Amino acid sequence: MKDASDPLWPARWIRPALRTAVLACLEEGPLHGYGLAGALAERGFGRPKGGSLYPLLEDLHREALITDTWEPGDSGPGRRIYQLLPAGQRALREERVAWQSLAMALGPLTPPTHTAHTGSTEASS
Amino acid sequence: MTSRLSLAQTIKEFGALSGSTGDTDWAGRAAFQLLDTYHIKESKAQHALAAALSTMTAAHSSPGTTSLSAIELFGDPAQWAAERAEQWRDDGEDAIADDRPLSPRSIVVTGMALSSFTAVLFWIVMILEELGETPFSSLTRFDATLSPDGTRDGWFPAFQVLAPFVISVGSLLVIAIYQRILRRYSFIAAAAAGSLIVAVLAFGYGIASHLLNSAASLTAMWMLMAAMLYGVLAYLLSRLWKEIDVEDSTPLPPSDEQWLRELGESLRGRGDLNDRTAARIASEAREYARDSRNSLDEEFGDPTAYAHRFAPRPTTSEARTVGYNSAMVLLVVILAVATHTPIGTTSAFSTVLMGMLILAVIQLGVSIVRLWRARTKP
Repeated sequence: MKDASDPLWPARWIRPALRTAVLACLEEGPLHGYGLAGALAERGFGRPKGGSLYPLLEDLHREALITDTWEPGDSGPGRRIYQLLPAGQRALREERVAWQSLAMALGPLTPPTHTAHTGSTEASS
Repeated sequence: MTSRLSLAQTIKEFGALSGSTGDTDWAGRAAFQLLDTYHIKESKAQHALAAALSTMTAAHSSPGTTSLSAIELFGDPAQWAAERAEQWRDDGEDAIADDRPLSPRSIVVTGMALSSFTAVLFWIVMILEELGETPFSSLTRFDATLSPDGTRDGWFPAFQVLAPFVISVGSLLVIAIYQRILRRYSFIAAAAAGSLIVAVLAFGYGIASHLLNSAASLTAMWMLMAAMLYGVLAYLLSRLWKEIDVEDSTPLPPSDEQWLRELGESLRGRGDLNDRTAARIASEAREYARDSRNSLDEEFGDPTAYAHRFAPRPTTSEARTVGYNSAMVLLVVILAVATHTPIGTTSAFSTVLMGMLILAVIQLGVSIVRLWRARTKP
């Protein structure tokens, strides 16, 4: 049975897309590390291991695409919160366009025939 | 077949296959990047190059194809190495070399071998200085006296026969202590301890030479004899004193506390991340494991491998290189002051100091330029 934290796509697809996926999750608002992992799981990327997530966050931090702040906990230990910077939003826009063009390139070179297109439209509607 | 070769043999095979030294150069540069920049295990680097060599062999044996060079097949060696290292990092492969600090055996055996080499350099300097001023027969004879003849042409204070040993073993000792303190505590503590030990060694040697320089004198040939003695001792010690292979005695996964300690040591030991970044990486790992309710080992895997998954910060490593080279310049000055040796005078020790100073200043200049380039690189 599929778990909510299981990825929808093979790991070899997820790995290169994870960077853009992290930026996309942070676009929704600031998140702490484990919250970010949950947001990625909700988007179908599965919950990444900490060992995959933090080196990526460190790269994004170094490229000044995200920033982090320390938020003290009310009753327990504090958390580090990650937030998208304006440069990160620009990078996300550019990466989305690039991924969309990649997805387009994976489609058929010739447009589908009229009959087939109509059939699939009807089926989905 | 190529997997049984050593790394050096595999590199040579590239040139042997194509008959071009350019391909050997490509393989050498790729290997250097893997070992030096990415701290990859030698066996792993050899396997990667052996695979590349197989590809190249296949390309060369394909009918109708022109012989492609390594750079045409695989691109820039630095980029090729970076891609291999990144792939192993992402796949979580055990590719990172164990970067433990120098062991006592390495300090002594390597120090003795270096002492032999340094003593030969001292001897050459002595001969070059005295040629034309001292009869050749005086330079090639063994003689010793209990009088302060060290000031006379062709003689040197007997105590200075220990100078190659003090310089070589002392340098390795300082490096080993620096590495251990860096891994255990912080860069600041390691730099402070290293500087203190250098100063103590230099002044200790200076005081000893002041007291003992006039005790006895030797002719230059004794320095050559010392070089041979250091060489023989290095060989004997390397045969008799075997390195104890420190295997992980705990097959069980490490506790979180052990894991964090090993992570901190590996991060600081890399030398290209500052203490603040190392502390942040450790605190993030602790926080994530706490939230996920898994152990650190389950979430992050082996702490040493995890420590090497972070890209290096060139400005940190270059800034530290500037620091080391500044310390070298300072060391030469301290040695000159401590031994009352004005740099540039016609004595063997002074000439050696002058050589060390020129080398250290050149290295310092190069490292400053590299730091500036790393800081201004977008």
